[in-house]
Amino acid sequence: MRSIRPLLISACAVTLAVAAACDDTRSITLEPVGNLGFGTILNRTSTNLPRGTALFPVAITASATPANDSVIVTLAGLDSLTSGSYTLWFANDSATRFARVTSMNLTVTRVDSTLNAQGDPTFTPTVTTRPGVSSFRAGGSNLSFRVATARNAATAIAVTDSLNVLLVSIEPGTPGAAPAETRPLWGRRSQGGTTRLAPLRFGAFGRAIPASAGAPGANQEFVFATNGVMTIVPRGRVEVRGKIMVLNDSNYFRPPVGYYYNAYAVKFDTTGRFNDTVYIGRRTSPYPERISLYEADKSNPAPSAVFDSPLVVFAMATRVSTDTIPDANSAQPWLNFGLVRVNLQSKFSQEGRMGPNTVMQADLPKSVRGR
Amino acid sequence: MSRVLRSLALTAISAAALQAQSIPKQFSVTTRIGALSAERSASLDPAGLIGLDTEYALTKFFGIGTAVDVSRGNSTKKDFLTRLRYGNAAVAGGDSIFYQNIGQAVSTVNLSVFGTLRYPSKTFSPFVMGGVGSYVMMLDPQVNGKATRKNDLSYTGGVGLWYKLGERVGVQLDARAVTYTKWDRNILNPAFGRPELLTPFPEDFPVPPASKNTALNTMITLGFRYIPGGIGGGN
Repeated sequence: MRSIRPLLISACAVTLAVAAACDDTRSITLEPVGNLGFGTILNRTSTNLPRGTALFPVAITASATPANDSVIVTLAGLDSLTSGSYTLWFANDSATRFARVTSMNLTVTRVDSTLNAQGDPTFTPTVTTRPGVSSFRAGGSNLSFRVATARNAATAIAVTDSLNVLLVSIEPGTPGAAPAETRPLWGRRSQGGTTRLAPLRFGAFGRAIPASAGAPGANQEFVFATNGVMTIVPRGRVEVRGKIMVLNDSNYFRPPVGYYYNAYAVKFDTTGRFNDTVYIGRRTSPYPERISLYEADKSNPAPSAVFDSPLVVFAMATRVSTDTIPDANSAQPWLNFGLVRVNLQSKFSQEGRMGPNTVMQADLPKSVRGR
Repeated sequence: MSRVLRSLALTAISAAALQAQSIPKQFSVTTRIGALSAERSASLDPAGLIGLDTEYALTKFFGIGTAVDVSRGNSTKKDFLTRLRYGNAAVAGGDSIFYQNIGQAVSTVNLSVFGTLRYPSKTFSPFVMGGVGSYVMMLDPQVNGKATRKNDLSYTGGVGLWYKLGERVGVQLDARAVTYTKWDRNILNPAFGRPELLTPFPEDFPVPPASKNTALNTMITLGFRYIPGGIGGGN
């Protein structure tokens, strides 16, 4: 009996251990964390980028009557500027000679829309003529421009100079002999073919891009869009979780010189119409750096997200909290906010006021906007 | 439950009847119960543990033996964030995302051979021990959707104290440090390598401490030690 006592003790100890270690409940493996998230996708919008056409005169050099060598330019999708002004230039193909257009007849057409009694939109155009101007600042999503000028309106162009390039620059001050670095729109006679009607390209013309190895030369171009159409398709998502809204998107062109990307949220009224636009800031590189990409037009503030060749922003992000946005800081955060927009905006326009150049847009789901 | 109480009573009676003694050239068996607590970076919650040591006393001071430790606990949920996504963001209405921490039950068996250096006295015998072995970690197949197991080398070092209740019986309290080598805490994450891990709100969730390739576990156990009579050439 004595010899088996230790075995009994051992068995008892094991029994005790097992009894203590075992439990009839199963461990809970999932634990919800905080608020739900709601996501939606950013889609490329119908373009409202800067665009237009340029109709060149028949004669490449001056004809017998240069005053009849008319140049007709149409423009749309321009930001309204708070500093600087849109200025037109004539140039030769190699962009070695520039001549500023000092007189032009500007016709501005403003289209306002309202809803009639049947709920259908009605459009009311208002035309304003401004003859003999040398530059202008107006812009907006509902403004279009027709510029009528002629070869002899640019006094600096010699009669033997070829007029093959029409360039729109933004001049921050008194123009010099050549356009300033912000040269967002241009058209070449050669791009118009036999019609001489060239679609304007939007981007950065020539040496406006910082000079570096492989960068475009004086007569080269960084084309963001041709006649308003981008050849790149950005993509991304908007996610809302409680007070936090995050945009993560990718595959954008670098902003043309003088432009930057920003984002806005659009608040609806109770009938679903635009009520307010809320600025949610300049775009940044993604987490964890979140470096501002405001200067990505001329430098590379975040090499991990911004490429120099090709000129592409590989990834962008925005993160905001309603704590810093009183208009969205309701009991249900982001209540009535229905749209999120990624815009390209001129640095010469008023920051925080939404311009016409929406590149991407997301419709926030009802789960977020609350109706 | 009544069986447990009877066992307790029998243990107490048996222990009281015996006298303390350290016996060389004899085997001893120690059943242990305790807790295992991993360092924070291992992402393992404290776990209950049972163990069984068998030891052969080479001399009065030295012994060698084997140990089996079985523990069962949970992974640290808050270190593993995942999301459940409903709906499709590409269609009207977007999607809804539930953010969840995910844990799972973890069963570990640590097998080792060890040596002990003991300083016997009349009542108390303090000792130090060190060993090497292998740990086998078995994860929850339901949570992982498959059988998931990990095994690799482990090292053990510890100190303890044996209090002699009788010639062949005593209680033992010890603390051991068990190091799991080639540790990869990602094995504890059922969603590892899947897009469910990606969150657009990285600032809003706590970041677990930096991972390490070893996991140090502190093991504290209370044991009953026996020296079976007649085994190993003893009396």
